[in-house]
This record gives sequence, structure tokens and C-alpha cells, in this order.
Amino acid sequence: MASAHAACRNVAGAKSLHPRALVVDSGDVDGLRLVSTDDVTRLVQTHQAEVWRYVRFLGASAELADDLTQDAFLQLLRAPFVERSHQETVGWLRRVVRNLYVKSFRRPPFAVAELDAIESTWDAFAGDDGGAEGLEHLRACVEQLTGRARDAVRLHYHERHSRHAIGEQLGIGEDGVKSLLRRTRALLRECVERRRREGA
Amino acid sequence: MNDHDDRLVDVALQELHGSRPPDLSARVLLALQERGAGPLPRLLPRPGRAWPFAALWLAALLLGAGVAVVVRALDSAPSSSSHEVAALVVQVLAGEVEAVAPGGERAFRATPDAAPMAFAAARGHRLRSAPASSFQLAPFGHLVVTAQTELEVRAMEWSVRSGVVAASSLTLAVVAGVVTWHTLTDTGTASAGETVRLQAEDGSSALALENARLRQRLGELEREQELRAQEASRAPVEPPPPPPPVAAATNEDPPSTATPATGTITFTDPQFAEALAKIDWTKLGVDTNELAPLLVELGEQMAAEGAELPMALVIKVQEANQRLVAQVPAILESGLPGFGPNGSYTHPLVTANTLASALQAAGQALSADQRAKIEGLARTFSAESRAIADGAHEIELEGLLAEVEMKDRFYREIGGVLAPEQHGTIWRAGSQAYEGTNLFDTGVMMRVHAQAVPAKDPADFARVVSGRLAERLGLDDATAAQVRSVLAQSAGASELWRDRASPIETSAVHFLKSGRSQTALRHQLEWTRQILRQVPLSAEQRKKLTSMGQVLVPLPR
Repeated sequence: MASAHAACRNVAGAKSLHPRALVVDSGDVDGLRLVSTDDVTRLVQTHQAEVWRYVRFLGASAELADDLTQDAFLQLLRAPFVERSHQETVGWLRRVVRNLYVKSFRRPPFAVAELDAIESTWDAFAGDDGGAEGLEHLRACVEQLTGRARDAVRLHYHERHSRHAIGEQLGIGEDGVKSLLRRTRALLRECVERRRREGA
Repeated sequence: MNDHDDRLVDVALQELHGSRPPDLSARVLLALQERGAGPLPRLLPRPGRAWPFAALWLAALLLGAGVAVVVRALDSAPSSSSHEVAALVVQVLAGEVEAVAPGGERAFRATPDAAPMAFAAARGHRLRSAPASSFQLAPFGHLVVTAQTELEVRAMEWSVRSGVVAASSLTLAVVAGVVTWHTLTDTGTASAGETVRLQAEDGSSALALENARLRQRLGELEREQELRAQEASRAPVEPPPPPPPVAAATNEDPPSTATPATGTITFTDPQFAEALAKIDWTKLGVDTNELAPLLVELGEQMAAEGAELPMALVIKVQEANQRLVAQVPAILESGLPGFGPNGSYTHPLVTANTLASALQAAGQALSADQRAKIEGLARTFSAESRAIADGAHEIELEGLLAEVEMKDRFYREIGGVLAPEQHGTIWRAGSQAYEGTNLFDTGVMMRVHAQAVPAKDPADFARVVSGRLAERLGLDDATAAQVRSVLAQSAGASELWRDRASPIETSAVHFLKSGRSQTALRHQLEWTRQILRQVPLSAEQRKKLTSMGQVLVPLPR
């Protein structure tokens, strides 16, 4: 294993400004060293959605998530990383992007003790497909919403009105809107779980 | 449901309603090409390792080595937390540069007379310049800014190589004005609203450069010492006879010369006369002649497959280029119209004067007849340049194309006026093979705006470019697909794909084949118009598309 690692370092240390120009003899390396433009594109397109969603889940804005996801891939491509499996790559990227996110704060945005809960929540949602199935279930659940819950979701997420504006339309206070949205999200979460259990 | 579940559903709902993960593949590829694959993973300073604040001043002493020292500056907030601050070195060559903290407090004002200043490049810190200025921002290269330019630090990255913490990349937002940056391997222009990502010299390259520079200096000192020793060993010689007394001089006028006195302007325009008179044209001519053969040599040396950067030559190019770039603020201050700083630098009046000075310095001064002809050409093309600058362009790059086409004609006309040996001095053999290897060529303009997009075919190009446009314009998936379709159809012209990328085009110097960018520009304008006609875009998206300043050049793999 040590020799394989050393081989990767040599490849990564090759002097070139263009990764596609690298010629790699993977030899005894247990995995594929990413060297071509196509490889890079495939790697990014395969994992970007999950990494981006994950860092959004941690609390990053969409813009920050773009930057951090890009930086995570750059770190991976500049490191002596060997692609072996989907799970390993995703795990590596998640660790890096989480560190990058934490580093973007002066104080950590969450306690270390919370990490297990954060990870297990994400794992449950992401499954094996980076959350694509969970999103489809959520879409179906949103379509089943009725009444104020449906209106609140439409006004808040689709039309992006403030809580104050939503409250005026629904005839409730801002705190009421906050509670309504939270209750609605809880309903949706249950709905997604139910659909998963039922294999819908 | 706990808070994590709630946030998860919240983010998922946002994604369902439009906040979707973008395709970052083009962006990652671009960043890799800009920065290189890089030999090592990025490392951060060891936690808890405290650097004294005085290291900021040490950074100033390390200017020559182009090393930025990373310090952990104590947070001014009551808490004991700390954050990383990189100290970069600012040395002003012309004009004036101020460093301003996020609160508006001025950290320093640097001028050409001042010692190099240490700039704490934390997020939110700004560099601003009231007059047009030129300065070194070590280790990131040479920046030239127009008057009233303000740059804000957005991000900074570090790496640790051989135990040395060094800045590796710097992202600056252009808050106001225009900035042009010059490094050996990269040059570009950004205006207000755009972001600049600067890449530090690779550590090993920087050290190699410094080693070569020191070796060169050592050689010079040894030669000086040798000369002194030789002179000391010679027999004393008779002192030269004193000059004749002034009264002995005749009253005759000195013989007329073919060119004006040293340092004076050859061709002028009343509107710009005062500003143009401030430029040292003689120096510009001498510096131009020094740089010209070096660029040709660099092009020749880098043309071979897998060629390494010739460090000694690189140093000479950098030094000669720096002397030329130092004149750019004065040219910008003159108000000569042009598409970006290099547009002003290649204005017909500047070109005509630089050419006259370069030929004078080469001992091939223009004759009176040639001067009269070139004066007429400069006046005619200056008027055309003004008309182009004043004209309305729906797409900003239309102005660039009009300007380079006009200047191509100007160079041809001037070439027809010169004698063969003069022509050979200005357009020496091999100098026009690539964009940017001749200073009397529109490649100088195009190089700043061109951005190579390596692609195997039009479909590949369409995929990469549509990804970039989607990101830049904020397109949703459906609109991005429409853009991609337009691109795939209109970027298929054979003239874009018949020449495969040569080694020098993918080398560290990025010299594109002459004409490649201009061809790409014409096609880019065409596909931009098609997108505007065929794809439903918001007013904001249309504005962003039409104000793009980069020419995306297909580089066939």
C-alpha cells in the first residue's frame, strides 16, 4: 500500500498545468488516478449534487455552497487521492467540505458533539443516491398539502415572501407563520419517511 | 422532529423551488487550468501556531522572494478567537495605492517613493487607487488600475511547501474601476462587478526565479570586479583635453536631425498633447526593443512539446515587461480611448510614437517623409478609434472586434510606409506566430480578453461554455439547455476546429496561435446574438450576457 501511495504522489507531483496532459500508468495502484478532463467532469458531475446539498444542509448559502463544493473538488484533484468507490469518494468530499464550511467561521457553527446527529440525519436522507430519491418523495408530499400549509409553502419557498407578508395574506402573525412552516416541514418529513417505508 | 430534520426539509424545499445544485464541472476544470493541477494538497497552518504580528513587516523584507507570510492576527473583538491574515507586499511603481480596513480605516498609503508596504489580505480589506496606478502585489504579480479603482479581498488560500507557509491564490472583487494583471503565465482585465482570481507563483518556480536572479546579479558583480581589476592594472593614461571654450563655438545652428530630441513626442493630438508629453517615449522605445526579441525567443523555446519554462529568459521578460507596464498609468491618464488598458496602449497615437522611438533607438529613425505619412495615418485612425469608442454597441465585445479590426488595418498601413529593415525591426521574424509575442500587433489586446476553452468538438465546447454561462447568468436547467443547443449549432464552424492545440497553447505561457482569438470573437458575437434572439432571458441575464468581457476561445484537443 505504501508503494501505491508513493506512486500516486509521483503522478500528482508531475509538472503540468493541464491535468489532461498527464499520462498515468496506474500499475499496482489499487484504483483509478483521475487525470483527464473527462475524468474530472465525470467525477464532479457524479458527486457535486450530494456535496452541495450536504453543505447547504450544514447551513451554507447557495452561493457559499457553490464555492465550497468547487474547493472540495479542487482539493481532491490536487491531493494524492485514489478513486476506489462511490462511498469513499463521497465520504472524503463530505469531510473536506464540512471542514471548509467550519473554517469559514470564526467560531464553529455547531458543536463537535452535534456532528453525529448531523451526520445521521444526512445519511438517512441522502441514502445511496445523494438525496435524489428523498427529493422526489418530498415533491410528491408537497403536492398532497392542502389549506394553509400549502399556501405557506407556496408563499415562502416559491414566491419568497417575507413572514410578515405571508402573515398578512393568511391572517396570522409572524410567529404564527414561523410555527405553521415548522409544523408543515414536520408533516412533510413524516410523509417522506412514510413513502420510503412503503417503497413508493 | 429535531432542528437538523427541520433544516434538512427546509433546504430540500428550497431546492424543489429553484435553489438547485449547479453543474460545477466547467468551473472546476477552469480552476484547474488556471491554477494547474498542483503537486500537493492544500495545507493550512498548524493550529495554535502563533506568528507575531511583526511578521507583517518581515513580509515587506521578503518582497524579492515574492513570499507572503501568513500570520494569525489577534482578533480585535473581545473574544480570544483568532483568524488567519495573509500579509502581501505592495510596492507602487506609479500612482498611489491605499489599503483600507473593512471599517473604512486607512492602513497605509503607498507611493513610488515609499518602501514596500505589507497589506493584510483578510476578507473585506480593500486596495484603492485615486489616480491610475501600477503596483506589484507580491507574490501575485503586477496590477495596473485605472483611476478610482477599488479592489476588495474575497478569499485567500495558503499552502505549506517545505515548511514555508505561502499564499497560493487570492480572489479580489473589483468594486469600482478596471484592473489589469500581468504575470508571466497569465494576464487579464476585470472591471467593476467582476472577480479576479490571482494565482501565486508556484513556490519552486519562485525560488528558481530568485536563484536565477541572484545568479545573474552575482555574474554582473563578478564582471564589474574583473573590469576594475583590469583597469587598475593598466598604465595611467593622459587625461582628455578640456573642451573648447564656449566663446570658440560658432553661431551656426546645429545640423537638423530626422527625429525630434530624445524623450520628446513625435506625433501628437491637441486633445491629448499635455498627457502624452508626460510619457518618456525614448524610454518606451528602448524598452520595446529590449522586450521584442525576448518574446520571440520565449515563444520559440516554449513551442516544443513538454518544454520547461526557461527561467533566465523568464526573468528578463518580466523585467522588460515591467518597465513597459510602468508607463501604462500615464497612457491611461491621457484619456486615449481603447477597449481596456491594452486598448489605450495600442491606440494609434501611442503605437505611432512608440514605433518612432523604437526605430530611433535602433538607429533606423523615420525619415521626414515617413513621419508625415505616419502622422496622417495616426490622425485618421485616431478619429476612427474615437468613433468606435463613442459608438453604441449592444454587445460590449462588438467594440473590441471593431477596435482590433481597425488596428489591424492601421498596422498594415504603417508597415507599408516602413523600409524593409525598419519593418524587420518592428515585426521581426517569428514574432507574429502567437498572440502577445509582438507589441505592434492586436494580439496584445486579444491576449488580455482571450480565455482558452479546451474542447474535443463543438458539442464539448457547448457543454463547457453553457455551464459557465448558466453559472454567470444564473440560468435554470431548461434555459441552460437551450443555450447549449444554440452553442452546439453555432460553434461548429470549421475554422474554429481545423487547427489542433499546439504545445505552446497549452503550456504555462498560454500563447495562442495568432488570429485564433479574433476568429473566436467573431463567432462568439454571432452565438451571443443568437442566444439573445432565441433564448428567453431576463433583463438582468441579458445585461450580464451582453457585458461579458471575455472571449471564449475553442482550443481543439
